[in-house]
Amino acid sequence: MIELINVTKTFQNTCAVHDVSAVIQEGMIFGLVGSNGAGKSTLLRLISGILKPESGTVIIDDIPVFEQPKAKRKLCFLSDASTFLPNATAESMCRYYALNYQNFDRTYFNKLTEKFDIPQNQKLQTFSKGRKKQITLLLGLCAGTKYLFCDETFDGLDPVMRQTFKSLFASELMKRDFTPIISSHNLRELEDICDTVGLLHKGKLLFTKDLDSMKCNINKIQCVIPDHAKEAELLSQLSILQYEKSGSLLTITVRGSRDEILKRTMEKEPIFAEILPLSLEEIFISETEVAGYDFKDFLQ
Amino acid sequence: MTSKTSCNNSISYRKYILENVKQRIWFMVLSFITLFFMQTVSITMRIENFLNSSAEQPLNSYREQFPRMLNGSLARPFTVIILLLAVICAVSGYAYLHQPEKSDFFHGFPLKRIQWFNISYIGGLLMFLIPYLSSSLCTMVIAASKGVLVSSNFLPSVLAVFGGILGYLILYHTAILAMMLTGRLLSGTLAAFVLIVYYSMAEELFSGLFSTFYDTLYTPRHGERSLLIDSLSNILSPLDLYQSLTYRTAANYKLPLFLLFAIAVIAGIWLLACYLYQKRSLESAGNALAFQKSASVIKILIAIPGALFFGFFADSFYYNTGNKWIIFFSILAVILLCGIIEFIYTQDLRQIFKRKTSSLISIIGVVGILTVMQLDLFGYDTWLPKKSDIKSMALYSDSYLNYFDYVNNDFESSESYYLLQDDDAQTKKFDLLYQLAEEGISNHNMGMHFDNLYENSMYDPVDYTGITVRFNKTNGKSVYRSYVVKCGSLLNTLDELCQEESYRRKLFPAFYITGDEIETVILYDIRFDTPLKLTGEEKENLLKAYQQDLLQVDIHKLQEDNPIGSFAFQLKSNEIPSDMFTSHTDDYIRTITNLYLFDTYENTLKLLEEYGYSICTEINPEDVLQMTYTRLPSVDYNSSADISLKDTSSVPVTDPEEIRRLLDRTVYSLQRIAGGWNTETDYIEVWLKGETLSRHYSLLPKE
Repeated sequence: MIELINVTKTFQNTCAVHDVSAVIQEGMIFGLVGSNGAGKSTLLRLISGILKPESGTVIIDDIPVFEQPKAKRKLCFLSDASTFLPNATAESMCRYYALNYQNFDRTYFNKLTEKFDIPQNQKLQTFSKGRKKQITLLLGLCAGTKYLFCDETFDGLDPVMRQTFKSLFASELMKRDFTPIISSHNLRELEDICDTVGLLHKGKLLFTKDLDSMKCNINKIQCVIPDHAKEAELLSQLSILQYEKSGSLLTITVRGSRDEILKRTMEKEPIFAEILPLSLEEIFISETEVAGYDFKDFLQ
Repeated sequence: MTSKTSCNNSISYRKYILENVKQRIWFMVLSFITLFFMQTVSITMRIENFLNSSAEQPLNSYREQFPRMLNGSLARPFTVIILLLAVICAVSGYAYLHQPEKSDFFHGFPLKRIQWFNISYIGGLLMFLIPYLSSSLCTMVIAASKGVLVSSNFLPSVLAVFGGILGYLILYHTAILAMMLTGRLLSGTLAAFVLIVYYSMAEELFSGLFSTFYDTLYTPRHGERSLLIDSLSNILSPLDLYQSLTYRTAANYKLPLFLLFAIAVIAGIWLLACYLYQKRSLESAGNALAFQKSASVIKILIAIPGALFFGFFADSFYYNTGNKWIIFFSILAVILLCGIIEFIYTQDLRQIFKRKTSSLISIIGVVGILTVMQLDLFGYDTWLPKKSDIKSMALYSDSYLNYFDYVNNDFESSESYYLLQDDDAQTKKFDLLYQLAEEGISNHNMGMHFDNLYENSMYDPVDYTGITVRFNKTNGKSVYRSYVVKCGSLLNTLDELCQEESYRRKLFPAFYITGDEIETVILYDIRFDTPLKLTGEEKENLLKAYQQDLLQVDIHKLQEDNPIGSFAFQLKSNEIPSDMFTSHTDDYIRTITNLYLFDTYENTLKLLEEYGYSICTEINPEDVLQMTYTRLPSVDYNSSADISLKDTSSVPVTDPEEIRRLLDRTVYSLQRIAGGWNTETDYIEVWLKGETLSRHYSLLPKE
């Protein structure tokens, strides 16, 4: 379990992370969302023990992480820039990671590089950006650490590769005690992989929520109710997060269970009514608005 | 269990260091190549050259010099190479700290910061030590095979190599410290060089400032510096410490305590760098400085000396136009420098006036220093201790520079060295000398100083000379000042000083010669240069007679009369000149010239006569084949008026009467012990019968 207790980090005059407290449970994929400059990378570097917080503590499995190799052995940090040793090859990076992580699985790494068609002895600096990302992710996966922190690591991967890595992550989750934390400014990237998502804005963690429960509690319904009085009655009965009317077509995002919303709508004798799937982005729009923010500020 | 863990840790450590070395293997190759050429090949070539060109006799001396060759204390290029290697090693080892991605990459791994520090440190050290020791060993084997390295100089050579390693460590640690203080590769590299040379440069700069603004300044040479200044210089100047380490270990000079001191400094810098590594924030990567709070201090420390240096540089560029221009350029430079430094810090032109307080302090600092010096607010030039505070005094005159030729084969020994430093040259009867200093101050107050001696039309420069006075105070401190005084006053003082035999023995170079070291004696007079054919005993007797005459001569005679000739003594030398790279092997025979002879030197003249030699005091006009006369425009002797010439032109003189008149005004030498005779006079060039080369003679003014 990762605990952040009142963590604050300031760069010169800019507060990158402000008084963040959170708990990240084990055995799930945690997504960290926020716009550029929200503090995602800083928070991940703090959790990885790379940066020292000005105040507060980051604790990994009951050990403060900064300057504690014992705690750091449990995690692997993959930065957004794929960084390797000078003149490194896949083989030499594998050796270097094995030096740092006792549980590094060389066999698995060799197997995966073969599958991904990555030459072992070619210099990594000659590789494309996407290829470098693949190697970085493979090294992180094979490090055998309990926690894997990916700082926008999925950016730059093509959709096929993204899916492949999501499968690999899922497979690792099945095999061992594994908790990946993935940061991204793109909600759609995290939508189908994360179990829990935290939203970071201007250095503050606005909330962390379980995605399934969020999806269950917010629904979008589209309907046409000929009777204006009944339409007004429906609107007053629902906990509306968003409302839009185009002609006689109503589109409303509502907090509550799918069955209950559908039941109340049908009572108003609509000509047409349908529950639509909600994207993670739409859920976030709703949640952040509830939290008192305009979501347009968060996403670019 | 514990031992197994520690064993595993040490194995991992080794692997990490090995990985570090692999990543920077290019540096090891670079070290191997440069050290092989700069040390092994270079020394081998020098040994070959020496063995092929010199006699057997100085081999022992050459062997003594071998340790200094080995660690490069004799070679400036070698020092530069070691400095560059140390900086490259430190910069390449800790460059990752200056790159945000790499910094994150390494610090994400499960190691403590101190461990990362040590891995890079040890890796870098090994990559220098292995090539250095290999190259040194190789050189020593070659030297041994050539007979230059023998059992007697083996241990000193090993010590010299050890000194070289310590010297490298001081530079390496300083460069690491610079990397810890900065956040950008370029600023780190610059800071490394600045830290290494800062104190030496600042010392040179202030010494330059002092000599520019203070007319009476005299700077004692390195060997005369106080222990405190020396220690301070060694602590604050890594370059000085490096040079001291290589020199002292090779020369086995005052070592044990100095080695402890050097090791303490090396360890101190290492600890500081280590501490800063742990304290520096990783997010400082990409900023010019790792510790923003130090920005203002560093700015002031760079801006003030930098501006003063620029002031000097600009002034020299414009032909040393004077102190006013130094002040102008320095103030201009400090403003510019503050802006430039801020730009380096922020990379933003709009921010160049940031940190106004430090800019203001820098400007005030420069203006303050220049004001103090220009107005001499501390009374440096007019300082004179009370007589009661003086234990003894010593004197050196600039006139000795041309008059005497001291035994001088050590760079720390100048003409002034003996007369200002030797115990026998310190006089306790200093009343006249004190008066001389007072006269010097008085002359200074009238605007008379050495630099403008020949520019000032208010007085005749021929009557004045420059002197240096040493005040030995009762509190143990020695203070030096240089003045301009009248030659007559100097002569009177000298006369009093020479009442003491011990002072004469210090003053005249002939007393530094011993009879057994004389190889050849040459007698010069107005007409002939005669190598004297004398036995060893005769040479010794001649020296004794000459020394006897010197003890008896009236000092006024040396000023008022012209010498009738002089001796040159060629001496066998047991010592190799300290700067081996510029000295030819012929320099092992030292020649002492300007041992003037006067007609009152009865003992010498009598002995010369006894040995069959006489001194010719005039040139027979009939011996003259050809003569030209040259008039210098700066000299306005009335005598030249009766010869119609154009300024500075040389004209042939054919009239026998004119030749005779000019020869009458010819003397062997115009040199005077207390100065006062302008040697830049009209002169004649004479071709004599039986001689292929012409001779030049300065002319006395017409009576």
